[in-house]
Amino acid sequence: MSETRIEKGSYGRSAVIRLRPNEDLVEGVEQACFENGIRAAVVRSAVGSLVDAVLQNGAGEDAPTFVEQGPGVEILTLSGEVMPGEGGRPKADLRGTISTPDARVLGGRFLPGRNSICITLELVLQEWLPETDAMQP
Amino acid sequence: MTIPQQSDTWKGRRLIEQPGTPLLPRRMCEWAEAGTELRLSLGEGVDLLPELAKVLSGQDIKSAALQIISGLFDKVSYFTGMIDKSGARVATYGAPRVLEGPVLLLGANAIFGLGEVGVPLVHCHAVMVDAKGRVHGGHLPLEGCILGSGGAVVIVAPLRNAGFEVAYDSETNYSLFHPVSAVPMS
Repeated sequence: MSETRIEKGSYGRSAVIRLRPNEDLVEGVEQACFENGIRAAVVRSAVGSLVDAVLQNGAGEDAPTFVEQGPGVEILTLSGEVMPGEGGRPKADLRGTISTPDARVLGGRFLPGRNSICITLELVLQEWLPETDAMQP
Repeated sequence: MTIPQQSDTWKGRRLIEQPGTPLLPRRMCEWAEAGTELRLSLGEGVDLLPELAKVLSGQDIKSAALQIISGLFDKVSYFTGMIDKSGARVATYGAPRVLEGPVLLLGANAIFGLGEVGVPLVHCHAVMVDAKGRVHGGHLPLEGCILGSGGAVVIVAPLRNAGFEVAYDSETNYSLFHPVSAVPMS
């Protein structure tokens, strides 16, 4: 069992973002953060659509993955965060729900590099400004 | 930088060709200052999205990130996306799917900003469950989502000095929210 980490901090400015078609949802958010100097942030709200949705339930290569074909897969809700990854580069972990063209609703973690934006992604991220290094209770 | 525009795959994911020429930048970003957040409790009988637009405008908020964290509808409809066979756009909405209440809202994300000709606009996607426990979700129409008993609770994160404003997007042939700086605030 791994230990709980505590990071104290506060919220900062909000980034008002649009991703255009064919940007990848996860990598596009990471790149937008990199370009704008955002090290850490949380999703405050997002509305958009995907060409196809590729979602994963769980973590790791063996986690169940499923594909829903569009175009016009709607992103219904999005939650998650951006945190510093390898080399300090922003790394996004995004989860949410989608609706398919035949009106089914599904959810999961959006697989990086597999979710092309269809029409748009309207997104508000809010900076997370840590005051201290993460610590243990 | 190359701009992908083919109906093909790139790094394992499908890309789709839009009706218009790809525009730059591919990732738009403006910085906004966060204002004091609001928790709204909307009452029974209210039309959700027009009421949100009215209340936020009345608070001199021009743009905001919204999370609807609870709600119950007496009547609601929604749209899901599909391929646009006319070719005018790559995707469009189908016919509205109408649900009679009680319909429980499980969660919704929304963006509030300025629509065309400066009219306040809420773009909202929601997940809901009907009286038989079936889950539904999609784009909510601008009018006609009527709240039932218990209303709805909305968390509002106002955006100051930047926000979303609708502009025509020639690439997709849709009028869409775009980030803009210096949204005038009172």
